Amino acid sequence: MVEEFTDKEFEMYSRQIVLSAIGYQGQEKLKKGRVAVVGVGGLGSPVATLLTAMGVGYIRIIDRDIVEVSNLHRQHLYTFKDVGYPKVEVAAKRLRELNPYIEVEPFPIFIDDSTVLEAVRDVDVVVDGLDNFKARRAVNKACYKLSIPYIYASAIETYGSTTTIIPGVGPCLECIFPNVSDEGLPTCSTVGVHPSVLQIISGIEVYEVVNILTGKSPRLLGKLLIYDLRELTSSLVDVTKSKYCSVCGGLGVEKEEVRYPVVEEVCARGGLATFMVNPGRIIRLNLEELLSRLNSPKYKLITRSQLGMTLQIDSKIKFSLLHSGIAVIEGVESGEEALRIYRDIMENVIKIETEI
Amino acid sequence: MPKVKLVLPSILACSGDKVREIEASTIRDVVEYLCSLRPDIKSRIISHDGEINTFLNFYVNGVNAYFIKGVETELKDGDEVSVIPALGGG
Ligand SMILES: [Zn+2]
Repeated sequence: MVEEFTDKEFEMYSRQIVLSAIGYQGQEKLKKGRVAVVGVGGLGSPVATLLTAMGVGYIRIIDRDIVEVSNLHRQHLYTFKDVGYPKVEVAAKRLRELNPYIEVEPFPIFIDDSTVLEAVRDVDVVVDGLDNFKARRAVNKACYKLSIPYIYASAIETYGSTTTIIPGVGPCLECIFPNVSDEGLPTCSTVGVHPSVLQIISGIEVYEVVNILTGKSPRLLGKLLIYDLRELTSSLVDVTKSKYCSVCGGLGVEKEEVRYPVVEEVCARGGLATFMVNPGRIIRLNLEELLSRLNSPKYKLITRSQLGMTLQIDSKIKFSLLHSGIAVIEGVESGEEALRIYRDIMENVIKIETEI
Repeated sequence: MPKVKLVLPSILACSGDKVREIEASTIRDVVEYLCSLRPDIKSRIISHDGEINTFLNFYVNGVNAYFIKGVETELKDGDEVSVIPALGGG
């Protein structure tokens, strides 16, 4: 339930209330709105600042970083006296000072598959302030699962890109950038980032959040905006949902188009080839039950942890299986052999269909 | 070889034309073209194991080639290929 605006709030938001794009009703919707900002660095700082000043009622800020001097040129929530303190702690204090009429909740956590569902639960929109694709892919998956709109954005050098993802309606991040890895991607610490491009991209992200919270159509649904500061140009690329997407594609519909499980060589350890098999979905294995079925002398249990286990097979092969269905196989000759072993264990021992 | 319309982002085209016509039968030919155009970033286009780096996306008439046949995706006369790099950072 939203109470009336106080005189101070009314005055604070007056230029938005007279603005036809927001208005009084829009302002009420912003006050009811709940937003999670994942990452309060280069993009997340201006995003959180704008959302706070504009009067979004609940803002969750998520980051595991500590303020560093090299952040200060572009992350203006922080000053020299904050160096060494957790970003979310400093940011929450600053944001509450900026707008005491809203709620700010800091989450000092690392975003990965194990934390992300908790991190983005019970919000209306998730906004991207992250700096790597591993975390973004986790957020994308969680938002798809929980049906929460996700504003993707990234920025590097003088370039930025952003799009609005509405689960089930348009493409998800995995449809647009399938299987992207951070390996080989330049980072802000290696090639730098122009603070101006962060202001532009974060401004567009906030515009999209406001569109969603106030019930207007987001402008970047199915469109990827790429901005180039040096040329002051932007391009809008149409992006489409793929039925083969590993996150939102509705897998297992067409057998002959199978892409998963995927096997890839990850590295060579001590001269032995190592392969990873990705089932293309989170399987959630019951490891206890699996162990009870592995009674053949062919398999020897080496280690067992909460999230996975490692088996020795025929003395030369090491087979590690995570409860999500991902396997790492060492000591085989080829990817085909790795996949054969994976399929044998999954289908004949665990009795799980691997082809999707 | 089929003639296709290649649309490059400014991050790859530099000061050159962003839209150009090239001859390419598959996405692999487009990758080779990109490597010859930008030998300075060839090692970022193709990783050490010979695979195309995952941040590069090739959209053929609006569909990501990853979901067609990857680099083996065949092209025909008049196809439009847009190169969309995933940007890291933030
Ligand atoms: Zn998808």
